[in-house]
Amino acid sequence: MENRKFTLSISPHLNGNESVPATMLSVIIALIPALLWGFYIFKLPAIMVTIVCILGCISAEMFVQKLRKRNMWIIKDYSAVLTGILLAMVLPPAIPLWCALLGSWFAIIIGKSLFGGLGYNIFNPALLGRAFLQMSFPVLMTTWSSPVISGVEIVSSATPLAMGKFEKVFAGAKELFFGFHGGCIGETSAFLLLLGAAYLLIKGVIDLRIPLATLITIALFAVVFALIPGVEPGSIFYNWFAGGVIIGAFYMATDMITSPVTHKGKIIFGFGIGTVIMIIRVFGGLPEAVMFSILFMNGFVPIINRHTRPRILGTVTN
Amino acid sequence: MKTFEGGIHPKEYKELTEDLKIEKCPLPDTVYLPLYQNIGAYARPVVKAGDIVEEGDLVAEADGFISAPIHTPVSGKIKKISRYPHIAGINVDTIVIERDKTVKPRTWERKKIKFQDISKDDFIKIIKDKGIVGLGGAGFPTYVKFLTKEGQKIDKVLINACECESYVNCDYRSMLEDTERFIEGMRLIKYAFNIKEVIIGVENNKPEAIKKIEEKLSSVIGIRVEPLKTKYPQGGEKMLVKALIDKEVPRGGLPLNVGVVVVNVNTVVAIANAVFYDKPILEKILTVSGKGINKQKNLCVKLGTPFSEIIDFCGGLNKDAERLVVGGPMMGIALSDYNIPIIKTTTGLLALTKKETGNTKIEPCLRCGDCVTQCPMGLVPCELAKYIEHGRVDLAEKTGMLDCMECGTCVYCCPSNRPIVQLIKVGKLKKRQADIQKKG
Repeated sequence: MENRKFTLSISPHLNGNESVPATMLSVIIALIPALLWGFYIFKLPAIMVTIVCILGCISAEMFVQKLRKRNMWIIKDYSAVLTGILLAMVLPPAIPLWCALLGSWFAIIIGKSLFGGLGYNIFNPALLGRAFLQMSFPVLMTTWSSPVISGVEIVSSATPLAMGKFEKVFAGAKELFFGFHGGCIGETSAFLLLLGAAYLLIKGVIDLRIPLATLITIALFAVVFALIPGVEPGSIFYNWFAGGVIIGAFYMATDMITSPVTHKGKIIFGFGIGTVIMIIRVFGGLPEAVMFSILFMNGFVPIINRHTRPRILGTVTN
Repeated sequence: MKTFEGGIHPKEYKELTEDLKIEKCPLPDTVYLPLYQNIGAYARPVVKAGDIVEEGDLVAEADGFISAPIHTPVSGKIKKISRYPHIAGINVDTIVIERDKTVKPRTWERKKIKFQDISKDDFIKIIKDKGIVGLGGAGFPTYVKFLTKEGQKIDKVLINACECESYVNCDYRSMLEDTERFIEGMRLIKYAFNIKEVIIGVENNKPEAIKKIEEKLSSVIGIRVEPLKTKYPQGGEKMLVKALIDKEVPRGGLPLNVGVVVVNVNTVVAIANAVFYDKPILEKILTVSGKGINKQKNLCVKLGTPFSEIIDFCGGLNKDAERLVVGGPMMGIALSDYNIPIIKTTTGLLALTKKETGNTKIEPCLRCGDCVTQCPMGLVPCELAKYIEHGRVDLAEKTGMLDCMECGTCVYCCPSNRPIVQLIKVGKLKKRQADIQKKG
């Protein structure tokens, strides 16, 4: 027999077909319907903001890789593109483009690369970018433009949450669910976001535990807080579909890198997010709290992981 | 459908060989018998160069409690005893026997005994003397599994017929082609130890085997087939016990701690051969598969046959063959060389192509938690790997490193292809080295 060389490696010798780029790409695909809806109702400004955010994230990633003398083409894993899209989707459509650019640089450079790049960041980069903008340019971040939808009359340009918080006017279920209202570029249509989430669930990219725990907690507090005299938290439905709960619970909180790895941990994480959202929404000074509550819980992930390890097989007496 | 928690379902590739009858591989001219055939102490040779041996003669005896004797699979002359490459990647003292081509292969006559004639002590003595070891995995000497301590009783015997590894079909083919002997072996065990129930755990991707065994078992009381969900690693001992009788083998313990013994299909056949035919383990049923080999086959191969001769018999390798794996693809060992002989625990020889081995690009951990969900032992594999990567074997040990059975499920489901189980193996090795150093 002729002499041949073989690959020597330690088992296993079979690998699944999953990969990092494929995972990122499926999240991007899931976001597209809601993003297109944002483009449709907010027109050109929304498209421009999205393009700037994606390019901003890609350029920041390449810049950092260059500084670190690493492979610049890491951007091919789509993670920077995904951060860009997610950031754009949680920005108001009327935001100036330079502001969006700053936000995306902050997201990648401070939020991701300073921690060590993909897989090592503690906080969700897109939300960190948004938090930076919210702190630095509060006025720009709360200037909302009216959605333009032919055949549908839009009453006000303020977001349903701001209306609910400050004027005690709660938006109707149908317009909230399907997205006939103002808000951030990608958060308006709960229906399309859930459609994308269903795709991710079927593909097994995200786990239902975090979003479910978040939604159930929100519902719980919506009911409980309503019992307190003088407090008006709004209906369960309103609390679920107004603002960023759906995009937050299904796309931001489920960000693998910044959420717990254990089953129990995921439930605790979702519970924490739901609790903080409702406390800030009802008692805090801000109308919206999804971003802060997720970032807040991100900080707890290591400790949650440590205390929710599954039980090792064989550690019970039968 | 009964099963365990976690696990994966890799592409099966069973169809490559599942309908192929077991063929006899031609006898090798030279047989290489490493003294390391199974887990435990090496066997001690009882022959020297120049000795003439007959098929079935003892050539090396057990050396210690967990050790098994070795018998020669061919008649001939001992050429020498010296070091040769071994599947485990080390050089091992090996008895080299030159086959006498004038001697016809021995026929093994059936002894005139019934299974009722065999007592518990006879049974243990026979399987000990005939070198029976677990033929599915590590090769734990079978007699040790049946040795009960004071107060212990074997309640049930579980037959491991899962064959959860992809490609491999040797247990499946044995169940189809050697059904009678397989059942005889089970009745033997059942009678000798007065066992209440024998349960055969088969994955439900083998309906033909389930049907055939159930037909033949119709008149036998106390032996039944239990179809299990097709899922890797169902054939792991702890997973099988969990699925079949819903009990957990305690940490660091044996199935005997929960009153059961787990035996592999081909081990049962070997037991029947030893008791009724006086025949030691001389050959192995082997699945030769993978897209890198020209003719996939199920073979009956004499121990000590070099893989090169098996590959030649199967039409050689094609140009796409990239990895040569002994055993199943999930836990098997990659070979660098094919002039290595088969041993008692060999179940498969796979020539894998790049297409089959899949994506191997390593990327950073995304903390997706897939490995945590799928780990059948309930570990947090990604965390263990990180600890070991950063030199904290102590932390890894605290969080269950030693409970890992190295099934490789974590690596299979990892989107980043992180070498998780590989790192855990390194961690275990480091711990062993540290322990040896501590002892001085």
